[in-house]
Formats: sequence, structure tokens, C-alpha cells
Amino acid sequence: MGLLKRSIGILLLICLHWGCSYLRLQQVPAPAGGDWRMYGGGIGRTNVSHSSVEPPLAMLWEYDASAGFSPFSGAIAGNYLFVGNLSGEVHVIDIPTGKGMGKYDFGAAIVGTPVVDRDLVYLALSRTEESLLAYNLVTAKIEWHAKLGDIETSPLLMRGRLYVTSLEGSLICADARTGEIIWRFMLPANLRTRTVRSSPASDGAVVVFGCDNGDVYAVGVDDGKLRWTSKTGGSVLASPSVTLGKVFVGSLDNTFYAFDAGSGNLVWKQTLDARIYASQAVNDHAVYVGTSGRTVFSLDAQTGRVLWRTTTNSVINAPPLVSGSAVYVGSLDKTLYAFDSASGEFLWQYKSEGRIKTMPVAAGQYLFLFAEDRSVMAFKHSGPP
Amino acid sequence: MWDLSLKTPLYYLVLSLTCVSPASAQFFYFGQNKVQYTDFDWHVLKTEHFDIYYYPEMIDLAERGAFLAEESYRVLEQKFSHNVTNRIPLIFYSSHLHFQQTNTTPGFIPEGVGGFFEFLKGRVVIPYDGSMWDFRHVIRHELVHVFMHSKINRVLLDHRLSQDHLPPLWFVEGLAEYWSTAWDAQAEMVIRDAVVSNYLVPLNDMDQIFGTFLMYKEGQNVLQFVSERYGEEKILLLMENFWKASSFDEIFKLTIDRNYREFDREWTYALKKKYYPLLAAADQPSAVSKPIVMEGFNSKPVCYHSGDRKDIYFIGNHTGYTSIFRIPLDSASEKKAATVLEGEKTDEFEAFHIFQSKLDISPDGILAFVTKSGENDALHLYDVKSDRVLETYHFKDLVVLGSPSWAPDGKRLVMNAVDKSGTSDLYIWDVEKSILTRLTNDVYDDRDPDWSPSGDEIVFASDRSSFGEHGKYNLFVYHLRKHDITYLTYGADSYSAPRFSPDGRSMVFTCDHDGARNIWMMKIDSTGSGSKEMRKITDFTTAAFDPTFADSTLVFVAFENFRFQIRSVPDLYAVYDSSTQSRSLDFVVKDKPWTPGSIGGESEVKSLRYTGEYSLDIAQSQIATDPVFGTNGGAFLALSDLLGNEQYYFLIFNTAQSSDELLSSFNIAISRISLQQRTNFAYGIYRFSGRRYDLTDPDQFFFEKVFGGYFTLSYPISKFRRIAAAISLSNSQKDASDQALAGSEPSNIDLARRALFLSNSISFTHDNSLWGPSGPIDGNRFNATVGYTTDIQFSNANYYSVIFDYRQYFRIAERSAYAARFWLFFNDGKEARRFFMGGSWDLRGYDRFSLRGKKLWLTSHELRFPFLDQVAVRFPFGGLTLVGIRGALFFDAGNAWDDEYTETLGSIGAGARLNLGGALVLRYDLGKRIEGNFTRLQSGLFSQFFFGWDF
Repeated sequence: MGLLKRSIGILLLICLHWGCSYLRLQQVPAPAGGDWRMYGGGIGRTNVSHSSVEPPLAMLWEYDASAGFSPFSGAIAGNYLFVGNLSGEVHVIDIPTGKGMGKYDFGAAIVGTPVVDRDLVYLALSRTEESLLAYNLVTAKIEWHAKLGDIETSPLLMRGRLYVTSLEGSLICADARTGEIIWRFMLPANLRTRTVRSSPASDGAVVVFGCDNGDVYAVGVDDGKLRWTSKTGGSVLASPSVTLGKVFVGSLDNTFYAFDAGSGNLVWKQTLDARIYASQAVNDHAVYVGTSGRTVFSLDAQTGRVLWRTTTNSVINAPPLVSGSAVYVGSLDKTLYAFDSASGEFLWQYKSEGRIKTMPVAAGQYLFLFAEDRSVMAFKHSGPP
Repeated sequence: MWDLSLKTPLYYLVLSLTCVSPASAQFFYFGQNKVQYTDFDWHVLKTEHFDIYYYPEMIDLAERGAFLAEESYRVLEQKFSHNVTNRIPLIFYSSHLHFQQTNTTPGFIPEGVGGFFEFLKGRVVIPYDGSMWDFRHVIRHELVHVFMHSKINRVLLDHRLSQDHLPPLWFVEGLAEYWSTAWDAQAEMVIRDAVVSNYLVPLNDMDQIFGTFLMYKEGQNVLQFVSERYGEEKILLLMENFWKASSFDEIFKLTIDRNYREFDREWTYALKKKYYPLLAAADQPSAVSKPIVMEGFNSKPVCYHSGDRKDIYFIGNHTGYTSIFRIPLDSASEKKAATVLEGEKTDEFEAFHIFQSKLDISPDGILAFVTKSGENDALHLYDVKSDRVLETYHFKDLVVLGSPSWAPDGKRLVMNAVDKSGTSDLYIWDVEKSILTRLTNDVYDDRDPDWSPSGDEIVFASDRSSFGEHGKYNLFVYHLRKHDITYLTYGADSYSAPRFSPDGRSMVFTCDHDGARNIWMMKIDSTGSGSKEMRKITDFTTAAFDPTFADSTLVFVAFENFRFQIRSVPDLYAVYDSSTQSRSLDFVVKDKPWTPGSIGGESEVKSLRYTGEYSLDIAQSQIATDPVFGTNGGAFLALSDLLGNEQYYFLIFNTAQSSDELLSSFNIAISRISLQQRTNFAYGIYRFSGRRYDLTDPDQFFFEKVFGGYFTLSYPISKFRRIAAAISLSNSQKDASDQALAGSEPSNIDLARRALFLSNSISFTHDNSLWGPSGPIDGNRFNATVGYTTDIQFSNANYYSVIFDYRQYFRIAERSAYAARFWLFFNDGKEARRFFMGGSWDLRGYDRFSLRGKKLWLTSHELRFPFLDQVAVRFPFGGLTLVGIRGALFFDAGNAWDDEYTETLGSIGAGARLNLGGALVLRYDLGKRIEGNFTRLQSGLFSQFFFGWDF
């Protein structure tokens, strides 16, 4: 009798465990124009939303993601928001309702934004051997995984290939369908430090990333050969943006840089007030970046001239998001700010329960905020400003 | 987490000898007192991120501290890429003496502690020592702790990991140093000496110097090296990667791609490469100077001439107590210095400020020095010829005194002093007229005054130049006739400890030009002005301090092998003439004195009176099962206010064995302890109910319900003495019936009785003991208590008590002592309680608590000595290192009896003691009982293993 009870108990536990960690979608997420299928919103990592969500906003729902987030945020495909957390879980949230559609525990921290491509979600993991994998959302199976060493950046999906940077100092190109490594670019072994915490960005010709040693590297997308390197004065932890023929990136030397995407030559640099941990957003004429000195800058994309600056009440270490005419910036003061992208004028703010150190994302008519208290919040325009 | 003052590294070395001294009233009825001399009227200054607690006398200082705190917050927010979302309580004291009265921590605060962060309530507690630079440094140091604690916890929480560990202490303190101050001459001194004298402890063995000042500086150097070699972001990443492994060695490896051993090779090699070449030009002090005092830690020498005899008086710590010593100048190095005045044992000389306050001696042989004496410092005059204290002066408005210096007429003294506002200025004390005159009155830190032999000038060190903003001290002259101040030096180096030569034509001082503090000398012209040149006298790899003249011999303190020794260099003037290292003093003062920032006047700042902000200290619930007493469940809560002045304790538990006993078995106690005033008091009410086993009456169980209340007062006369009184009223109902003791072994004596007890007691306690690793090794302890207990309702009990306990400790060597103890306990009257003894704590060789009686005597004698300093055992899976095993040889005699004394019992033997982490001492004794009324030894051997401190 006792044995029977114990067996039932164990069975119940197993069922509960499965129930707690099960991710399967009935159908492939339908593509939508505003999708945000990987970090940056595209291969250039410009952090400009494909749809316009203008403030003021009103909160629609809140979802508990059960662990914290990195500065990289979620991905959006169709009606689903894909959120990876630092405990190793991917949660899929139904956007209209805010209901969880399922979650899966991959057992290792997910730092980078998941990449969603039809029925597959690609994930990069930290502190595990098999650190890059493809998970099939329909079959609920891991299609493939690759042993690439710890990855704490967001993968880039381009023309059927995945590009990832790893902590051991390499840029890897893998076949998105099979996970087979196509080429691997290794940083020179004699660097004082060659860890890479900067996600790759591309213009279709080169893949660009920054390194802890302060250099920015551009590698050919097809052959994995080094095209150029450029130096900054401090470590580059932020991820670059490649657009307008330039590579934009901030450095811990308190300076923001623009390099020519073809040659790596310095186009301009602008000294800001403090270290730059966060990546930037770049639209067709301006760069928006927040610093650890609490300040948000708008810089002329062509010259680096400061167009406007405004302050928050704490450190900014998450990238801003440009959506329509607004720039959304989260700060450790627990506030999401919206400024007018042209003038820097304050438009709207939302005070959350936790620090905001993850960039917001927007798709369709929704804007999603990720706060340190593990909550994911959906907002929608609430009327005229 | 206590943080060591960075001005006075030696404090911690001294502390390491003495820091196991007990917290106030910590152990049984002994313990020293943390006296609340000062009645602080606490206010709160609210800034953007801080609640700053201060008292009105120091409002200017509080506003400057608020400015520094907000400035540091902005800096650290960037470095950590993190903010602290709760308001940070910052408690400021305007002097270290006030800080020592804080109730935010129960233990004593040694003089070397510069501040601390207490993470239970998130409090930061910081004293001001007169230097705004040091204040800024300590504020930022403590805030690094606050930020790091918050950051690490956040990292773990984000990864859904338990917040149950922190980085190792070398990282915690090294980071706090690295991000709060620049690499200065003191840090350079410590690391240079460690490298050149070959005692640098690698990262892999950092546990060996756990908590020491060397660990602080090595930690700072390690992180500086990491930053320079691998990038400063690695330091941040060491914290952000904290979730990745439970071992910090592994996190280190993951972050900078080197484990401790690999890193040590790089780091130590880089240090050797940097510092070994120094020996080509500079020397270690022992190579080029003559030793005077090598033993212990020493500072502030001064020479006294009496006929042909020249004696050096100095402050030193050779045994754990800081005292004044004397040694002949021409003494051979092995000669032991004589103790002139022993400190830290009496109310009068409660603490000498070693390294902070110099001595001076007049031509008539009157030694002037300061000590902590009661609430504030006192100035003492001591006649070295008659060996007696002539005068002791207390100054009502001056809290801290320092560095008295005689005028040539021997009637006045100049000294620096800190008042209640925290400002450090110069004062003249006219000994004959008893008039105190303030010479300077500003925010700058004025130190080390020395009166010129002409009597017209006073030279002193001060941070009043524009370089003071960066913590640099220059030398200045106060002209007593014109009452103005002129620069003697001007620059970005730090100068200190100026001393005129006896003829007034030269001056020696220290300067940290080229990175190490060395002794320099300048000539003084007939107008009292300095020459345009200074020349280097010592060129040590480490540092020299406190120079003084003994005719043409230079006497000073040198740092080498992590010791502060008194040494000398003969023919000083010849050394000056031949010195090839000189610096020009031909300068033009370009900038105005600096002005410290202040938050005063900002509209967002609010000041309020402190009204007590209570929060939980401990909340604990527990269920315990015992074969005799059954299952008990309960909870304990402790609350205190932010300043720790008022404490409340709530205890509730139930001993019911069945549901119908639930109400009758409720136990509850509520207590309040007030530490705010000098007279501490406590009171409470209680109700206890349940089965009891009376240790004093063997094999007797009973059921008792008792309720009542108590009130107790404790008045500390000084740090070492106190009087305490207590009164309690309790209603006790004992029941030994079978029903009451269902399930227990019934008593063979009828214990049923009711009583309403009124108990009174008064006691006197003295304790100036100095503790070693397993117990006291110096000083003495004494307690005398009388009490009377009576049943005021039923007259079922009525007895009086006398307790006499005396313990004396004789230091034989630095780490060895002979200890003696005498007990006489006496209870007499109706239902008088029995005392009990036997076992490892008192009469060894007899079963624990096996000797019981209403009267008891005991004497114990023990020789305590170091036995094994380190035992290391290596296993395939790791190692075990036991440090500081101490030995004991003992003799005990005594007995306990009721009406008729039967025989005297005793024991002799040997034992070993092992201190585990400062919290627990394991003890093992082996010996023979003395039996047959002290006529024969036990045939075999007894052995006892237990825990507890030596008596």
C-alpha cells in the first residue's frame, strides 16, 4: 500500500514537473509586419521598432517570468512574445491576453534574445556545454545543439546562418538548419583579454562585434576572414549597430564611436559623460544612447554632434527603443521614460516595481517592458498625449 | 563588517593581539562596559539617497558628509552599473570617542576601526577624525560594501539562486579600498615591505591573513593589477559572474581566464620586477640604522636628557596593552624597555592613542601625553624623575586631544584637539594659569604641532593648502607674535611630524615624495623661516615616522617586516651635509586654500529629529523534540531601533503534550533593554510553564508554572567597573504529582509548593582582562554579589546569597600566562538553591555538575601557553589546517556541600585548547584526580572533552 502511495506521489511529481516545463505551440507563429524576431529588430541591430507605439501608454497585463532578465529582451513572432530568463527558461506569452502558452527550462542561463524563425527558436546559453540550440516549437523537441562554449550575447540570423559570439573570444557561423559550424573566427590568443560580450551585427557584408579589449572587429559574412579592426579606449561591452554605412558603438572609455562599415576608419567620436554599458538605437538620422551617468544622448548619426540630452534618475544600462516618434529608455530608477526622438522632450513615464535594465520591445500596437521584479508588462497607447 | 582605519595600520596588528576581548558583559557576569557617556540628541538629514543621523553640534560636518555620500553614490553607481534602491542609513559621529559609544554593534570598537557597514539593517556607521579626506575615503569605502552587497544579491536573485554567500573577504575589502581611494604611500609601504621582506601572501593562501590590514592592501593591489592588466571591467564582471560557480576561485578563472595559482605567478612576478630594483638605491631600515626597540609595535619616541643619560620615552604595545615605555638611547638592541605607565587597565589611562598622539617632555622632565579617560581625552603631566602623575586635565568642550608640545618656558603646551563639532584645531594650554586658547578655528585638519625653541613659532601639519582637497598635508608656521600662518612647504606631497632641533636651527619631518614616507630635514634661519631646500635623511624602501632629535642623533620609527621599530641614525648633521637628494622649497603659493563641499542649502534636504525607527533583527521559529521534555514549538523575535539604543525581545513557545494542555503550557516572555543612557536598564514580564528538571537537585522532575516580572539596572562606573542591581517578583507553583508529570519519572520528594518570590541582588564587577585565543591572559576580573530571596506570600522560601569570584592573570611571556581563580559561593536559608560544579569549566576530573551544595569553594590555577601554532593535514579530497592550538597545565581544588563539609577534592593535569573561528573553543583535559581528602592521586587518568573559554 505504501509503495503504491509513493509511486502515485512520484508520478504526480513527474506530471507536475512536466506541467511546469512544457513548451509546444499548436501552430507556427504567423509572420506579422511588426515582428521582432531577434535582438535589435534586424541584422543591423538598430533597435528601431517596425511599428509605432506612441505614448501615453496604459498597461494591459503583467506576467511573472519567474527569474530575472539580461539587458537583452524578448522576441516577438505573430501573437507570441518569447522571453528567455536568467534561470534558463523560455516563456511564451500570448500577446493579446498575457497568458502563458508554455515554458521550457533549458537548464542554463539565457542571456541573449531568442531568435524566432517559423517553427524554430534559436537560443544561446551560458554555463553549459551545448550552448547553441534550435528548439522546434511544434514538435517540442530540440532539433540540434552545438558545443560552442559559454554565450552571453544574442545570436544573429541571416540568410539561413546563425552568427554568435562566445565568451572564449570567437565569432561562429553555423548552419541554422543543422547547427553545423561553417566557420569560426578566433580572436588572437595574445590579447590581454579576448572575451566577447558584444552581440554581432551586420550589414550583409560583414559581421561586426566589440571585444573586452576595446577593439571592434569586422569579419566577412561568407568566409569568416577579418576585414578590419578599430580601437576604442576602453572595453566594448555594448553591441554595435550597423546602418547608414557605419558601425555605431559605445565604449567604457566614456566615448561613443562611429566607424566606417567598409573600412573601419573612424568617422567620428563623441565623449559622453560616463561609461557606456548599453547599446544604442539608430534611426535614419540620429543615434540614441544612455550612459551610466544617468543621461540619454541623441547624437547626429553623420557627425556625432549632440542633438539633445536629458537625464533620468539613475544608471542606464539597457538599450533604448525607437518606436514612431518616441524613444523609450529604461533606467535603474525603475522608470521607463518616453522622450520625443527629435527634441528630447519628455513625453511620458511609467514607474515599475523593479529596476529596468532590459530594453523594451514593441510590435504591432504593443510595447513590452521587462522589469527586475521578474515581470513582463504589456502596454498600449491610451489616448492623445 | 568592520573596516580598519587607513591612517593607522598598526592598530589592526595590535588589535590582532587583543581583539578577542569580550563584548560588554558578554560572558557570565564579567565583561567590560561600553559606556554611554554622551547624551546624543539625534537628528536625521534626508538627502536623495541617504538618511543621515547626526547630532546638532555637528550639523556642518553632517552636511559635508552628506555631500560626500551623494558624490560617492554617483561615482559608485557608474562603477557598479547598479543602484541601491532603498534609502541608506548613514550614522555619523564627530569623533572616534563618540563612535566607540555606538549601540549599533554590541561589541567594542577598537581605535583602528574607521567605520563599518552592518548589513542586517543596512546601516553604515562612520566617525570623523578631523580629516575631510579620510572622511570621504571611509564614506566611499563603506558605500562600496553597500553597493557590492546589493549587486551580488541582485545577481543571485536574478538567476533564482539563494543569496547565501558573498565573495571572499580579500575581494570585499580589496574592492572597497580600490574603489574608494588612490594607491597612497601607506599602501606602497605595506606592499613594498611584503615584497622586499618576502612575506607577500599569494591569493591562493589569503586565508592566512584573513581580516588583517595586509589583506586589505593586498586585496587592493590584486584588483589594481587585474584592472591594469586585464581591464577594469573584469572587476565588475567578477561580481556579475558571481552566479556561475560557488567557488570564487572558479569565478576568478571564468572571468580573467586564470585560476589563483596562475594569477599569483603573474602578480608576484610583476611586484618583484617593480620593487626589487628599489634596493639598488634605497635600503631596508635594518641595513642602515641602529635598533633601539625591536619588540612589539612602537611610536612617538621623545628623548629626555638627564645629566649624561639620554632616555627615549615612547608609546608601545608589547603585550597587548598599549603603554608608555622608557629605554636608554645607548641601549643594546636586546635590552628590554621599562614600562613607565601601563595603559588600558585603569580608568585614568583607558587608551593611549598609539600612532596618533605624540609625547613631549619638558627640560624639567615633565612628560606630557594624552589618554582616553572617561568620556573624553585627558592631558596628563608626568614627572619622570619622581615617577608620578602631577596633573590630569579634562577639557569640557574638547573630545579628542593629540600631540602636546611644550613651549620652551615649560609653562604652556600646544596641542591639536577635536571638539564636539568635529573640527580639528590647535590650542594652547597654559599650565600655570589654566587658560585654554584656541589658535585656529576652521574646517581644516591641523596636526602634529611643535613649538620652536625660540618660543615665537609653532610648526604644524595641515591640509589647508589647495592640495588638501586630495588629502595632502603641508607644513605651516603659526607666528605667535603676529598671529598669522605662513607656508613652510607647498606641494602635492604629504608632510607630517615636524620637529625642531633643540637649537631651533633645523627641523626634521616626514615626506612621501617618491612614493615612500621618509625623513627629511631643513635648516631654519634666525627669523624662524625655513630654508629654501630640504634634504633627504633616510632613504628606506618602506617608511619612517615620528623623527625626533637626541642631540645629533636622529631617533625615529621605521617600518620593516610588518613591525614598527624604534631606530636611530647617528651624526644627523653629517648625514644632512652629505645627502645628495634634495628638493627646492622655493615656491609661490598659487591657489587659495580649498573649501570642502557641503549639501547645506539644497532645497531637497530635510532635517528632522530622530524619533526611533524600529525594525526586525531576528525572527526565528523552531520545533524541538526531546525524549524527556517532549515536543516544544515556539518563536523568537527581536526588534531594535536604528541606533540600537532600544531593544525589544519577544519569546513565545508551547510545551503542551496534548490539546487540553495547550493553554496551561503557554510560555511567553517580553523584555525591553534600554542602552541609550549611561545607566542601562531592562525590564520584562514572563510566564513559563512546563516540566522542569532541576540541575541543583538531581533526579527530580517537577511541573512548574511561574509568572512575574523583573527590573534591572546597570551603571558603568568606567569601562572596567560597574554596579548592577536587580529586583524580580515571581509567582511560582511547583507540582510533582504523577498527573502533572505524566510520562516522566516521578520524583521521590514532594516538591509541590506555591511561592511568591521577591528577589533582590546587587553586584559589583571589575574586568580589565586581556584575552588570548582561548581565554584571558592578562589583567584581572572580580565580581561580588549579594542577594536576598523571600516568599512574601507563603513564606515557603527565604534565603540569602553571597557570591565572590576573583580571577587574576599574570603574563609570563607574550603568549603565555599564569591564571588563578578563587570562588566562594554561599546560599543559606529556607529552600536555598544549590550551586553545582564539576567538569571542564571548574573542578576538572569530576563529572559535569556532579558536585552540588548550598556552599561551594574552588580555586583553580593554570599555566596557559602556545602549544601548536599550526597543524595541517592533507587529504586526497582537500586539506584541514588547525591554527593556534594552546596548551594548559592545571591544578584545581574545592568542593560543594550543604551542611557539613566532608572533604577537599582536587585534580591536576594538562590540556589542549582549540579556538574555532573565534566563536567556540574546544577543550580536552587529561589528568589525575586528587582523592581521599587530598591524600592520594587517582590510580588511572581521567580525560574530559568539552567546549568553552578558559576561566
